[in-house]
Amino acid sequence: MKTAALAALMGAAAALVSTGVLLLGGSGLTALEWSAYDAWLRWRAPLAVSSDLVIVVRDPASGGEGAGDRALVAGLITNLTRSGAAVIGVDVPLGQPSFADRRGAAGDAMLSQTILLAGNVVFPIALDRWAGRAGHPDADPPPGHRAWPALSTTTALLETRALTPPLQAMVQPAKNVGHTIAQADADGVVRRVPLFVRLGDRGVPAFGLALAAAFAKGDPPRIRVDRHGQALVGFAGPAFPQGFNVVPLTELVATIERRETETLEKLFAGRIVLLLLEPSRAPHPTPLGSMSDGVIQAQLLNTVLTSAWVRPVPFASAAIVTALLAAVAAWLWLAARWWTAAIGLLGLALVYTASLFVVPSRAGLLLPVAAPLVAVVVSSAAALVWNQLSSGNRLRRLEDEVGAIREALVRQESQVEGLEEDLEAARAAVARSTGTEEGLRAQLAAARAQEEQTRARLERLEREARSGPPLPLSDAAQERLREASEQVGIVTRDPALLAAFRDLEKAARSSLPILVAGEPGTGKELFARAVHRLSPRADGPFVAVNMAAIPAELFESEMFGHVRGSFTGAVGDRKGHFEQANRGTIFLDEVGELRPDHQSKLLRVLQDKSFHRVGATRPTTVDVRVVAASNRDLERGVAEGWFREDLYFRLKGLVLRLPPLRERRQDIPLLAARFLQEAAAEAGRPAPALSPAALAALEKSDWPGNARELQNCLRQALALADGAEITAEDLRLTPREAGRDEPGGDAAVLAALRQHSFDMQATARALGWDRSTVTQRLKGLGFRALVEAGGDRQKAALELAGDAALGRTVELKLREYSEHLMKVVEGFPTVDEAIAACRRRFKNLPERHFRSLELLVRQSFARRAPTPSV
Amino acid sequence: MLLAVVQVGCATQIAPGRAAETPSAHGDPAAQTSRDLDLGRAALGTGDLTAATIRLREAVRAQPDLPEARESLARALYAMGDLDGAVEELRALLRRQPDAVRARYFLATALMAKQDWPAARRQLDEVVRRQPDLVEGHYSLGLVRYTQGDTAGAIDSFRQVLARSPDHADAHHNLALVLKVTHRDADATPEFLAAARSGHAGAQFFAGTAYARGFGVEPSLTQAIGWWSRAAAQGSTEAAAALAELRQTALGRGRPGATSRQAADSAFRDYRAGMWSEFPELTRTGDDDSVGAALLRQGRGREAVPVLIREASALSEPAQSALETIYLRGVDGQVPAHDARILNYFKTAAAEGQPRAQRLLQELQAASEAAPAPAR
Repeated sequence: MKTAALAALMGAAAALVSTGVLLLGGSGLTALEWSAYDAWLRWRAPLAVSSDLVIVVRDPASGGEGAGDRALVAGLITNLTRSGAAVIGVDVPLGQPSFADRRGAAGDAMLSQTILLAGNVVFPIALDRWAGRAGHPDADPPPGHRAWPALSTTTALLETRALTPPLQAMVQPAKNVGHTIAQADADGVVRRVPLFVRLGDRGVPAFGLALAAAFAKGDPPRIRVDRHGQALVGFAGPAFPQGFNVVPLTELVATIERRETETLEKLFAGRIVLLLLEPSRAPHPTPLGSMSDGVIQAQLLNTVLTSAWVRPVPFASAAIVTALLAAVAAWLWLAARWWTAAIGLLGLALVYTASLFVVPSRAGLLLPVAAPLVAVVVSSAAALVWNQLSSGNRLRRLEDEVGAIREALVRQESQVEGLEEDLEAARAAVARSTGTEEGLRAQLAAARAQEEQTRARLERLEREARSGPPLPLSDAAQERLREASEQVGIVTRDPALLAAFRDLEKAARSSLPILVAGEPGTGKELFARAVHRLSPRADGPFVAVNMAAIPAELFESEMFGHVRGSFTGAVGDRKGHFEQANRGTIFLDEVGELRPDHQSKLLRVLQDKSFHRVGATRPTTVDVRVVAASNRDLERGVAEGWFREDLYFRLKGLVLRLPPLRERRQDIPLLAARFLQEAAAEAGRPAPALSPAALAALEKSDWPGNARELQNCLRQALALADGAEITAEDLRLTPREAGRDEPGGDAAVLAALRQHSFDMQATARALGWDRSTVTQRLKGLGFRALVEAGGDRQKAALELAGDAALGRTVELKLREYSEHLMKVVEGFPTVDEAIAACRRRFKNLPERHFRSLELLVRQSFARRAPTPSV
Repeated sequence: MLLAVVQVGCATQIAPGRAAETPSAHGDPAAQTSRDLDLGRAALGTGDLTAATIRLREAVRAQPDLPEARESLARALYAMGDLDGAVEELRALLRRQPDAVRARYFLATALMAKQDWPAARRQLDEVVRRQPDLVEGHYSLGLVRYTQGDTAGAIDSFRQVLARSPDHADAHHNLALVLKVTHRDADATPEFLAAARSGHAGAQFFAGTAYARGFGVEPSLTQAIGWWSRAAAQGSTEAAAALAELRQTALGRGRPGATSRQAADSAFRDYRAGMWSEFPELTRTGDDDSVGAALLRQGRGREAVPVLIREASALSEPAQSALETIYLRGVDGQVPAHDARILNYFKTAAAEGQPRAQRLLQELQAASEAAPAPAR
């Protein structure tokens, strides 16, 4: 609606502009305006020619003499009158006296007498356009003809003057006298004739009109003229005198001389006879070629007789059409795509062009050309400029909106994070302090049990303290343990690891839950399998489950199984991992990734040894040995609240801490040899030897991915090595900076964040993490950056963003994070309490970043310290 | 007019052959010039314009101030159609002799021929100022004034002519024409009549028309027929056409009604009756008698044929019959057979659709085709 109104406004303005341009004029614009009319005249079917009109034309055979001899003209008039011609028009201006060598006054007197006697003669007089009344050379214009209407002074007609005062002896006896002024348009082409011009106080009709009026028997025809009193000549094309009833002058003279009265009467009786004795005199360019005044008047006469009028559309209608077309053009550019608008405009042009040719034939109306064209151009240009301006504004608005939305998103993200943290805290608080009496009793029982466990642990620790550190293993014991461990796939000479294996051997025989802790790739699953193989359940199933890989919504189904029809897609009964591991061992890898609710469900199974399949009404009881593993510090998880303490205690019957490979470099040669043998066996080729340099490089490397990384490295080297020995180059070890390319490391996370413009969702998808984890990592990075930047938030943001374009977004996030942090700690009286609260609230924050958080909190409390009073 | 001017110029010069009588002038430049002048004039008189021009140019080159030589050279150039050359020589002459009125009048004439009306007007004004009684000067001035649209001036000039030469038929005629053109028929008709009486064919036509339409006189078709007949007899095609038209009306052909027919018929009858007054010595034997027949009876055959043609043209059946007889058989001792004047009349009458004339011509044609080819 707004676009339509704007287009209408542009259309109206363009119509005004085009009208102004046309008023300024110019031959080019005029030619353009009339181009369609000219083309229509040339292409349309020839107009009908009135049978009432006969034209006598001087032909080449009649020679050049005669037109000036008025006695000859008089003779023709006499004979034509005798033949019954109704009206005779003589296209010879009679204003000037005859020259002496052309019979002088004798010819004039003869013609004057003939005109009087015939009583049906119409002839033209020579008039000239005259700009105004002031200084008029004919202060007393010659007496007019009786047929000329008297004009009031206000009637606006073309002012004229007589070039030569007409001979009154000819004017008075004539039936009528007309002018032959043809108004050329600005392009020099004659298309219109003023039907009347002013000569003194009289209106002089056009010669053709005067002839038609002399011939008319009834009321004169109504002729619509333009605002200048001019009428378009309906040229009966394509070329004069084609189509007209023409009699050559020589033929007429011969017929008269032969006194063939019947022939003459047949030709002329009752008709208008127009004598064009000088058809080539002073030709004017017209749409159909050059034509003399007389021929143009003949065309006008035929137009009057046949009523074949064509007139321009009235000014008001033309203005409306112009405005409408301009508005449509503007609307197209404003509302449609450019190519749609272009096609629409082309269609509009085609339709209007067709109208230019159809409407004159059907309705006798001549549609405007130049004004609509100019208006369409103007309105299109205006619309395009408007589009350009508004696009710029819209783009700026969009950028502003994007910025605002980005800020709002950051705030909302932070708010969500804060709320989630609050919710977690509240849940923990509720779990701790609210609930029903049973709940409280349960909590009390749990607390007592926890107390008991804590006591027992304390006693064990005291016992251990009393007994001192684990006894060092003797060489024989180590040897035995090496052999035993190798049997279950554990290759090591590391005493600590061998000690852990010794504990494993002992614990394997019972059903004590075992928790294996260690970095990824340290062999946690290998130890779990060892537990299984060394346990009495070795013949039972060993089911390894990666808890992090189980989708949250499928946790129960995967772990506990489901019955048929319990949910969409449950087409049959399915055993869960626990049921599959019945009478065997279940290895719960990455148990630290469990969500709190899933932790609760797992705890119940461990407690009750039974569970319900999804959709089942009866519980399922299983006998399962549980071995859990995690690369996260579950003890810290308990402290921070993200891991259930009771579950932790259920899992940690025995804790086996596996050292990273970088802490047992002596195992690297053994492991390398073992991995090479395995890889060569797989590849079906002999195991190559490691060059000393290669071995040294292996020992020098940190192996953040531990034994798994070492294994992959050697598999790759085996595949790539050409000879029987693996060189250092084959290993393709590259020195790396700490954390730079570590998968999941800060550098990788930061790179992913930058790549996705710090969009948490997109980054989380790219990393395969959940959004909360990414947020926590960014939060940690942010706290560290703030510390490194000395609290300068902008500098820290730029440092993190790495790109000024993202600086604002990161700065907003940092502001939210730091404000949230300050809000969290503001209610605490001491910094330690605040930090403890932060540990609970920011439990998922990596420890290395928590140190930054702690520093920020301490700085905050330092700033809060009261100023000593003076 | 052109020829008249040249002849007038020559009439004042020596007679042809005089130069041949002049003694040899070799060695005497004046004598040589005089000889060239004489030879040039003689050649001009005989129409040898090239020779005249060569001799007269030699004379002018020898004596540039010799007016006779320049004027004669101008006349020779004028006669050759070299109007610019003539004007140039006359202007040169007038620069040396401004009072040479005739040379100035000749210059005006040359300018009129060039249709340089303003220049001609200036020269003619000077001519009549220097020589007010020069009738031709006033007459030419009247023509120029009319051509310039100065009808009042033209009327004045023609009246000046008539004041000095009351019988100047052309002045009467042109005065009448200008008066008619200025819509003053009452004044024009007497002038037309005056010229008509002097035998001016054009004036006779207009006089006839004036009577036919009542322009300035009491309408009288009889008078009109009389004047038109006289004009037609002098070759006025307009008058002949007017008579033919009136005859058609009288014969009931064409568009005019019965009243017009009766008036025309009566007018022709009165005209024929009026012709008897031209020959008071003749005796009319009855209503069917014709003047021509009476003349034939008196043995005045030469006079009878034109009168019979006039009567026949005035729709006299006896005259037509007499003419037919005379043409076919002749009148012994008076008029030979196959008179060309009679044949022309019958051709005109046949062209007007008169049955008798058409039948006669058909018979003549048939007889001509039936006659044996002349022996070689």
